[in-house]
Amino acid sequence: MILSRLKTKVHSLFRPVPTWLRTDAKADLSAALTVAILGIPQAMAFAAIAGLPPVTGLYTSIVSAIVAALLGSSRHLITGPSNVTCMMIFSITAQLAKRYGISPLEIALLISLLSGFMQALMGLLRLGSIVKYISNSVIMGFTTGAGILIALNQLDAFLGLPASKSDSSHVLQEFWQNLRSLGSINPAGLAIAAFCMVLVITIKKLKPRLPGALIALSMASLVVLLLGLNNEAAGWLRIPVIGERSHIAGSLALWHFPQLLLQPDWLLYRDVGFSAFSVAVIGLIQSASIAKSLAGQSGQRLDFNREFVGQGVANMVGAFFQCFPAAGSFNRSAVCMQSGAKTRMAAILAAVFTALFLLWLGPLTNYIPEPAFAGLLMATAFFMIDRGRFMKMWRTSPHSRVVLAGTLAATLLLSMENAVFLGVLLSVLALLKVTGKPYLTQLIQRYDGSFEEIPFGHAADDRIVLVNLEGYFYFASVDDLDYELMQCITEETKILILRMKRLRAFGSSAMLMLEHFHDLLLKKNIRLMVCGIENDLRRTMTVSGLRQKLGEENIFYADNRLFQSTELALLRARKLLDNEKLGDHKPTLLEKIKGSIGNIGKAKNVPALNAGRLMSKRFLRFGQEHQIREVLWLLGEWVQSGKAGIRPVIYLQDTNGCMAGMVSLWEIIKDLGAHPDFLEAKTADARMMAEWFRYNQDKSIMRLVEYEAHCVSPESGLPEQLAALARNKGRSVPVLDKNRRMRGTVEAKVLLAELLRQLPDKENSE
Amino acid sequence: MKKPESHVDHLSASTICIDRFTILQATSTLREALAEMTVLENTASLLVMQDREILGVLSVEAAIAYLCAGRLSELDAGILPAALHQRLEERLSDIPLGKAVCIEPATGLAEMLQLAHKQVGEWLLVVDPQSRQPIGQVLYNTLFLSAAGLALDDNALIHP
Repeated sequence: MILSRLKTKVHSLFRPVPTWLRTDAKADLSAALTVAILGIPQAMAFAAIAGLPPVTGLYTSIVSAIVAALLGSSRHLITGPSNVTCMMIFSITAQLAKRYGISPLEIALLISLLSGFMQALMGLLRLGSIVKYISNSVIMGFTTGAGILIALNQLDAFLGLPASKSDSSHVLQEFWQNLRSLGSINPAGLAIAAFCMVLVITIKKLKPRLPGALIALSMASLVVLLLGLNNEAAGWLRIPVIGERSHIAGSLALWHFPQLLLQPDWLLYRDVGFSAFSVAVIGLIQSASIAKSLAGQSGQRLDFNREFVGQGVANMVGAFFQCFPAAGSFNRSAVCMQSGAKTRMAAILAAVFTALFLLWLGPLTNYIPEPAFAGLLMATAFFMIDRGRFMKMWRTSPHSRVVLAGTLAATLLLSMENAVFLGVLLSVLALLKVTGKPYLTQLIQRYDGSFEEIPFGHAADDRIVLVNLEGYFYFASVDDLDYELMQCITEETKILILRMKRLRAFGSSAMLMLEHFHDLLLKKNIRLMVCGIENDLRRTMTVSGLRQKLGEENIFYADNRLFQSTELALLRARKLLDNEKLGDHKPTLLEKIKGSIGNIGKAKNVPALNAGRLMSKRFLRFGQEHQIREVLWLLGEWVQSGKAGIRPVIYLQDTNGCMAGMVSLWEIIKDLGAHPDFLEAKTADARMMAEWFRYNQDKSIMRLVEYEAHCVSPESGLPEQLAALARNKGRSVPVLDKNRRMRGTVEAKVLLAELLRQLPDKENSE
Repeated sequence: MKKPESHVDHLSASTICIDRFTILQATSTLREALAEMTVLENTASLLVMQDREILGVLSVEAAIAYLCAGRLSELDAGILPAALHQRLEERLSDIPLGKAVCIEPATGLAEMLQLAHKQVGEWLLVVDPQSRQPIGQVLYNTLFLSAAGLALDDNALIHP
């Protein structure tokens, strides 16, 4: 069983060898060779950034790359030494090695083991989404800072100055010392370094597919060897080579058990633990963002949790093979994909090529001049500091500037491992500041029914004030909001409507604020109405008791039709004000009805027969989420407007705008009298009836919906319309388009007139 | 808030009925009834009388439903059958009419609503208590507005 599952898993990861040989091997081999040629000098250079022997960079390019490719999710991600993690490793090991008197490599191996364990754990705990909480501004600030640090760190080697690293603990202090030692510049070293830097930058810009680093290092090595600048005879122009500091043998003696596991130092473990977490997080962010970027081009669907596990296990395994913490490399991964790699075998083969290089040509790397390496790293720093993107982010917003500058400053001045967390903290603070206040505007309804949005407090005095609240509505954002809202109140104000459609993250503080605001308004004899209430907010209002306090008649629920509930709230507000204004001189219902019925127009003969021509577009549409009470309001206003016809029907639509049934006036009347006592009551005063009628009115409108309406398409002819009319028992026939959206209704009377027009006269028929 | 006296308490059939309805004799044909309907403005029903007795109510909807009854498949096929012509000449006394639910002018809103609740799809016809002659009709729109107004009237509930 387990073997079978394992086999299935392996099959899902790799294609069968014969298939791979036939279809993908050529492309993968070609891409792997390109990646190896590009990666070998990079690996050694990055090891130099980390302050570790260059050969460890090659080891990391071999072991970590293979393990990550085997277990990860991406087909194109190349794992190995990376500039940012290497800079972090240097930042950590430089201090701890001096403090504890332990080799930096041993500390790097311990970091690799711990950070790998944390990464794998995060993957197993399915925390793949954690990367999204680190903003682009943080990454940009951090990467820029790391680039500057790399440049400062390599300045002495670039200028051919005597090493100053042992004399100070911070790179900025080293920079200061380098400035004071400018008199000791080695012009030959500077020339070699500058030549390499310029060559790498030029090749990258003009011919990005060429292995610029390899070309530059080879040429520099050749020049130094030919001119004998590596010999003592060169005197003050002498240039040191890699082999003098750390000899690279042509062997693969990789296995090395981390000494700190044999002789644990708990104090060191404690100091390394937090740093390892930083390395783990940064490594994952880097790998995940690169893999995501590549997947966007290749169309591959990624499993970030699996990628986390892959990266973690690669680092854990690497710790036993002299590998420092690895992460995804954008340069090599992008080249891998652009070179046509089809499968993850390309990454594995690139590691194999690197191993073969180490075995056969490794000793040659001993002749690489150190300033050439410094030039290569200066070019790396040059590309890390992306001035265009940096300035773009800088201009985006003040909050981006704070996060960007804060993270950059922390990277340069504090330890790198803390810089990311400080950046995240700044991002959170910026987010809290942005969301700490809801966006307030005022709405005014135009004559055509549409709404105009104007700045808060700038609306003309009116009896009805409509305020639009948007954004977050949690404890911080509602502080003093009630008093701020009061600013839009004038002596004329009688009703204030809060539109709360786009509010998020509301809680008990928000409910308390609204309650207090309601009390403040009551003292001024102003009624508070709320509209655009969505389901979540409705629940919170119910639980907090606010719904009861405001009164159901003052709450209007959101609909899929924009501004539906706002229109209802405005109707209600105007109605209340009209009643107050009219006082005892209200028109009788009879007057209202007679007036409304008098407006109904005479049916006209329509020459065309199809439903699209016969239909009336004067009908009422409503969402499904409303209460009966809201439909009562709408239907009442519709009837009184005189546009509703004799038997008004409200058609309901679902969230896609499709017809979802209808509510007829009859159903409403029936429901109003649905109280158990109603039908049996001999007498009923207004108060009793009101209570009965309110019995069901806060229930969903869906309970009254009739679904059996027969509909026609706009192309339907007269017979089809008549048939639908008869099936609907004479009620109007909805006209739906092919998407089941309502276009109009065919009324019985119009159809009758058309029918009589079509039929011959009595005399003719006889 | 001051609670005003509710107007609904005083609502009766005589105050909310309308007197605009058309009376046709039972000897009239369906064609005549339909022609009458197409020119009527303010009501969609016809009152059918026979010897000063109310025979029933014919609505546009009911008329069309009757006209098309049993012919739906033919109508679907796009044919206006000749049988329709025959039906148009039928006398109103021979075709099914809706029941006219009669109420007196003094009938209160609650009772009217109860009647409407029991009598699905019929009009409430207001008749003179003595002569039993029609004097008006109460539309469901009217009842609805009264009831809806009452249901939504804050002052009718227990508000301070």
